[in-house]
Amino acid sequence: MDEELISKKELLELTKISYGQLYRWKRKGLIPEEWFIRKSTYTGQETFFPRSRILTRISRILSMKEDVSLDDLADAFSPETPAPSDADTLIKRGLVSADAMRLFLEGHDGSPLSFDDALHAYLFSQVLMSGELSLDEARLMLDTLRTAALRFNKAPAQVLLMRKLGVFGCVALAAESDVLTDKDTRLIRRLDLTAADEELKLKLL
Amino acid sequence: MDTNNKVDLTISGFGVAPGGDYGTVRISGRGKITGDITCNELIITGSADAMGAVSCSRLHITGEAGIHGDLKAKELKVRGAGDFKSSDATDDFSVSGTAHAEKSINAGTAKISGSVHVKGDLLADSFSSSGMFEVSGLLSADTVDITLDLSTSKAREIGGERITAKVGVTGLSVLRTIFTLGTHTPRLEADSIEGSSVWLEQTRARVVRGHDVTLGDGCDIVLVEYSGTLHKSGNVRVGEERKLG
Repeated sequence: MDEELISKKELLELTKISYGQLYRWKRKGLIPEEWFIRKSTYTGQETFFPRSRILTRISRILSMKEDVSLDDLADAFSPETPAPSDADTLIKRGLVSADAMRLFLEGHDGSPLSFDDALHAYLFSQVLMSGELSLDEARLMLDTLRTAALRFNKAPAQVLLMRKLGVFGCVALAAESDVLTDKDTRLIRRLDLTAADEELKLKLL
Repeated sequence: MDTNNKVDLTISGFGVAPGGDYGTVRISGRGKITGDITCNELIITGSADAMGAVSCSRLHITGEAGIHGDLKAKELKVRGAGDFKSSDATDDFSVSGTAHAEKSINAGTAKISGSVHVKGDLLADSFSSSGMFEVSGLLSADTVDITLDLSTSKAREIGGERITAKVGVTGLSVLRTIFTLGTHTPRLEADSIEGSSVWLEQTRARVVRGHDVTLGDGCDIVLVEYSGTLHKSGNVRVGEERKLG
């Protein structure tokens, strides 16, 4: 997928951050190495970033950095970091509603919740509480999330929830990608798992 | 961690040791460590090669040493000659001898008074050099403080909060200028230098970007972009200046 890029200069103008901040965040691992894309321009080699991802990341860093240390933030952005994910914490922090958690645990094997489980419960609760999906539909989504994690050997990048002529359907994508549906299929919601993962980790800090 | 119970290892003369977990390791002759080693201190005054990974609180090299595996040291001091693959999470990195790194160096405080060659990036919270460095990738720190001696230091990119490169002439360097008939001049070379505040002398770069930029004697910059102020003094050559925003 060809992603729209933004030059370093434009990024700094747009976000009002300084070179000092940008380089510090890079050193601390808050901005992944592979987002720094070096390209030749008529003035020589310049650095570019994937536009939407870097803008989201920077606004997230700026909104969090007052009360969270940079190292904690770096951990939250790292895909390998575990976070406390027991059912009580999730309910107490208002991340999963008590009802949704009860329904979620019915289909769970009884082992302590892993971070992935917590993420699934978080999304499960979101779609149920927003009224977008019925209970059966939400269960089908959960099932897809779990199967996709096994099949792809990692969490899927996105899950699309759609409905055609009143019938619900659900698609998991291994990588971010453009999707075209037929004209009768309505996309109810596009769940971005990478973003949800970061969001939940930050809320659990 | 209780290191008192651990066995010390001393190699003086000629010796080969396997890896292991030690208290203090001293190598004063010619030594070789064949496996991974974890220790409190590793002090090399002779000549040593560590073939595996090295993890220690303190690594002092006053002789010469080659660390061929991954290196983790809280304090890394090179007064002799050190060859590394990479060095990670070092709080204190100081070189008064010479050091070579195959990959990157990651440190809290980096202090160079000898010479350092890094094939990857050199990243630190604060970096100061009064010696000579060559970094093939990015040199980045909150404060990059360079005192130019009679040699050329190079980095592909330099980035940080406050970047200064000034000429510091000592009695010794005056003598060296006389003996080398002026062929050695202080110089900093980089493709790009970017900082919130940038203060340069004797610097050759393709592009310098910053909020506040000051260029002093001997600067030769193709493109300067600044959003706050630009000061120039002395013999300065700038191809193009752009004030942003």
